[in-house]
Amino acid sequence: MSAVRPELPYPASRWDSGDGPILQVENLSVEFPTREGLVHAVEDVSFRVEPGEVLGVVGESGSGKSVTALAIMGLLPKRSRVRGAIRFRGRDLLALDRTAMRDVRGREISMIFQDPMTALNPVLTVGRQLVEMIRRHQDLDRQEARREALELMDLVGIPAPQRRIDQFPHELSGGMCQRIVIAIAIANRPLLVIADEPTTALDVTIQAQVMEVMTSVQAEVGSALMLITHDLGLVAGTADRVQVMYGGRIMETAPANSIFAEGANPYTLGLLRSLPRLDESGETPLFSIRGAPPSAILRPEGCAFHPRCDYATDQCVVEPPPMVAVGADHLSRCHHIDRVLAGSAAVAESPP
Amino acid sequence: MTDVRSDSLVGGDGLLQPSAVQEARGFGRQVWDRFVHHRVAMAAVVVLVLLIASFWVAPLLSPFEFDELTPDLRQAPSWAHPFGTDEIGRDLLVRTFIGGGFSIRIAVLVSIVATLIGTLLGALAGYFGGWVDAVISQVVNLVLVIPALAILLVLALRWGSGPWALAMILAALLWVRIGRVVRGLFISHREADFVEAARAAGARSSRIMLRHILPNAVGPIVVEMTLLVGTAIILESTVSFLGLGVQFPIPTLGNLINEAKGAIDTVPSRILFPGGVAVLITLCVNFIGDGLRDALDPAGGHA
Amino acid sequence: MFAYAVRRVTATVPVLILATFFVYVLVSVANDPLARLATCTACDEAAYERIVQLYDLDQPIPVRFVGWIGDAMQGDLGISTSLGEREVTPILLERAWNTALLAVPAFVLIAITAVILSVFSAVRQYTLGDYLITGGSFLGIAMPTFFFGLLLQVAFGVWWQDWTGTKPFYVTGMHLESFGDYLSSAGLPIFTLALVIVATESRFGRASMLEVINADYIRMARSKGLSEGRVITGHALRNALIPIVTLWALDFSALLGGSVITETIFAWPGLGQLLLNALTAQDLDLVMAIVVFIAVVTIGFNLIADLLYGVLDPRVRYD
Repeated sequence: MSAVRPELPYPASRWDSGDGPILQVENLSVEFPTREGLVHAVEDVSFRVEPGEVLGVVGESGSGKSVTALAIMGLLPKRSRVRGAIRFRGRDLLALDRTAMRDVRGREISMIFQDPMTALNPVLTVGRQLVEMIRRHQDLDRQEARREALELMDLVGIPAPQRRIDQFPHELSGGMCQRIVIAIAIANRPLLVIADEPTTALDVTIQAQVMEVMTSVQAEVGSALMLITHDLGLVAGTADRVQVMYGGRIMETAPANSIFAEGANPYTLGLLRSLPRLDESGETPLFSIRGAPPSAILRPEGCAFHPRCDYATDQCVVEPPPMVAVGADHLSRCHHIDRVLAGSAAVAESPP
Repeated sequence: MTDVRSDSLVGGDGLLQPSAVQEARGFGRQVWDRFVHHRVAMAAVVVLVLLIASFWVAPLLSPFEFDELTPDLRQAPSWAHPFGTDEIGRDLLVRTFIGGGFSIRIAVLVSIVATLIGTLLGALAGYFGGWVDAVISQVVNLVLVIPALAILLVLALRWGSGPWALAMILAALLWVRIGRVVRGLFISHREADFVEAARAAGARSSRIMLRHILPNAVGPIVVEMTLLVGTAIILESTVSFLGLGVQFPIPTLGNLINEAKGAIDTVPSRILFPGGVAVLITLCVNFIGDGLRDALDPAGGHA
Repeated sequence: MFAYAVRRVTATVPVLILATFFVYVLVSVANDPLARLATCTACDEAAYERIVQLYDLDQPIPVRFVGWIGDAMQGDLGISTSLGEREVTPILLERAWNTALLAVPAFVLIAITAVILSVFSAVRQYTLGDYLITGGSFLGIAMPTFFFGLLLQVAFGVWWQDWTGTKPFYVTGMHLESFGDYLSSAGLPIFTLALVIVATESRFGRASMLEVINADYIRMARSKGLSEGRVITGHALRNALIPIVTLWALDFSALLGGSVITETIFAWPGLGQLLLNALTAQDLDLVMAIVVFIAVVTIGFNLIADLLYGVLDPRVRYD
C-alpha cells in the first residue's frame, strides 16, 4: 500500500479525540410529512459506536434502522425533520453546514448500500466510480488513484482487477459489484462504515462470501462497522454488540453473546425463535411473530410492540416502557423484564 | 388479562374486522378513488363536459343558423354576436360551436378506431411473438418512420375531404402508439403465472388473451385513448387549416381558423375563438389522461 | 461499439428501402396526375400521352419505383410541372437549405432550453418554478403549432406595433439581406417551431431526470461526499440525458415536418411550403422528391439516435 495513505489511528488534532465512542447518537428523532400524515420513522433513539467494533442493528422493515443510518450520513430527504444530536468524535453532525458534512461523508463515515446493482452508476465504469471516491478526499493524480483503486480491488478479493477496472457494473455479478461497493466504502479509511442490508439483495451462497470480505476488510482498515440487517442470524459471529430496533425505537442493546444467551426483550425473543434451526425436525412449523409491524404514522401510545407481545399487560398499552439495565452494558426496553427472562430460559441455547 | 390485540385484523369473535374488509377493496375502486381526488383532472372533466355540452346546446339556443347570412358583416364581438360575424354575415359563435362539435366527434372516432386497431394488432404481436410479431412490428416501424404530417397531407388531399374519411386516415396513422404499448403489455404478461395456469387448464389462446391478459391492459389503453383524442384534434385542425382536410360546408375548428386567417388584418382576434376552443379541448383531455395515468400507478411517476 | 454501429447501420438499410417504397406507393396512388385531365377541357390525346410518358404511368408501380430510384441515385428527381418545367433536384436543394436556416437554429434552441428546463424542474420539484414550467409545457403540448404561429403573427404583426410602435420581427417572408434581417424574419418561425417540441421534451426530460435523481446510485454518489453540482452533472445528467438525446434525433425530423405549417404561415420559402404548393398543384415528381427526402432524413436521424444511444449507454451495446 502506498505511503500517501492517511495513517491510523487518526491524528488527535482532527476534532475531539481521546478514547470513548466515535459515534454517540443522542435522542435522535426523525419525522417525514407525507400525504397520509406524519411518519415517525425514528423516535428518541440513543446509542453509541466504539472505535473498531462491529455493531449489529437488527429490525424489521419500518423499524427505523435505515433512517437512522441516513440521518447519520446526512442523506435524509429535504422534507425530513430531525431532532437530537449525532456526535461524531465529539462534533454534532446535525449542526454542521453542508460543505463540512460533505467532507465527512466518504472520508470519516461511509456507507454500503443494499443493492449493488443499483448502487453503482450503470453508465460509468467501476474503476471511474472507485477513483472518484479516492480523488474526492485524497490528493492523488489520476494514475496514482488508479493504482490505488487496483490495490483496493485486490483487497476485496476481485480476481484480475486490471481487466475488471474498466468494466461496467452490468458486466459484473452481484457479489462482485458489492465488493466494489465495499472497496469504495473503505477507500479513504473511514472511521465508521455503515452497511445497510449489504447482503439482502445477493444470492444466499454469495452472502457469506461478501460478509467475509466486509468483516476482514473492516478489521484490516480498523474502521468501526454498523451492520444493519433484518436477519438476526447474520450478526451472530460477526457483531460485537447488537441493537434491536422496532417501531422506530431501540428495544434492546447488548453484547452479542448476551443477546443470544439471555435475550431480555419479548421482541428479541420472538426474533430468536423465528430463526430456523438445524436441529429442529422438519415437521416443526416455522415460528413467526403474530401480527404485523405498526404503521409508522400511528405509533401505539404505550410500548411499540404490545399488540404482538405475549407478555403484554394493560400497563404496556398506555405507558411506554423505559430502558432498563439488565446486565453489563445490556439494556432492554420493557415493563416485564423479569417475566421475560424467566421465559427466555427455555430459549437459551448456543447461538445459531 | 384483557385482550390487547387491538389492531389485529381478527376480532375477538374470530371474524374479520371492518378495517380488514376495507383493505380488500378492489383495484378498480382504488383507481377510481384516486382519480376522483385528483383535483386538476376533475376540473378538466367538468370543463370538458360543459364545453362539449355547449357544442350541442348553443346552436339550439342561438337564433342563428351556422350558414345563415345576416346583414351584419365583419362585426367584432358584441351582445348580438358574442363571437362576431364573418365577411358574409354568418354568426361566428354558432359556427365555432358547431365546428367544435364536428372536431370532437372526428377526434373521438379517430381515438376509438385507432385503439381498436392498435389493441388488436398489439395483442396479436405481443402474445404470439414469432413471425406475427415480426410482421406487425415491421409495419409499426414503417409507419413510425415515415414523416407523419407529410404523408397525412398527401393522403388527405386525395381522400380526406370528408370528415369521416379523414378520421379513418388519422386512425390509420395513429394506431401505432397504442399498438406498441399493448404489445409491450402482452409480452410482459404472457409469461405471468396466472397465464401459465390458464394454459395448463387448457384454455384457448383467444380466451387467455381476452379474459386474462386484456383486463390488465385496460388501464394504460384507456390512458392512451384519452391522449389520442387530443392528438387527433391537433392533427385534424392542422390538416383542415392547411386546406387539405375537411372542406366546407362542414365546419371544423381547423377550417374555421383558416377562414379567420383571411381576416387577420381586420379582425385579428377572430382566430382566438376556434383556436382557443381547440386548445381548451386538448388541454382538458391531456389533464384527464394524466390524471388517469397517475390514478393507475401513483408510485410510478411524480406529479 | 463498432460492432454495434455496424449492426445498426445494416439494420437500417432494409428499413430505408422498404420505407421509400412504401412512401412511393402511397404518393403514387394518392397523387394521380391523370385526374387533373378529367377536368381539363382543352386537353387532348397528346396531353394525355405526354403525362403517361412523363410519369411512366403505363408501368406497374414496382417497376416505376425501380426506375425512379435509379434516376434518383444519379441526382435526377424529375421535372416539376408546377414550377415551369424546371428540374426538381436544384429546387429541392435550394428549398432544403432555406428550411435548414430555420430548423437548425430551432433545434439548438430546443435542445438547450429543454435540458435547462428539465433539470431545473426536477431539481426544484414542487416549487413555484416547477409548477410554472410544468403548466407551461402542458399548454405548449395542447397548442397546435399553426395556432401558436398565428398568435405570434398577430401579436407581433399588429398588437406589438400598435403598443410600442416598433416592429422587431418580420411576420412574413424570408429576408436575408443582413444577419439582422435574417434574425428578424426567422425569429418568429423558429420560436413557433420550438415551442411544442420544447414542451414535450421538457416534460419527458423532467420525468427522466426525476427517475434518475431518486435512484440508488445518486444517493451513493452523495454518500461519497461529492458536491451536489458534481452529483447532478457527473451522475444524474449522464443517465437522464440518454433518452433525451435520442429524442432530440427524432424531434429534428419532426422539425422538418413541422416546417410545413410554419413556413406556410410565415411565407418562408422552404421545403414545407414547397410541399404544400406541390400537393395542391398535383406536381407528382416534386411531391415525391420532397416526401422521400424527408423520409430519408428521418430514417437517418433515427439511426443517429440509435448510435448515440450506444455511445451513451453501455448496457445497450451487447444485444
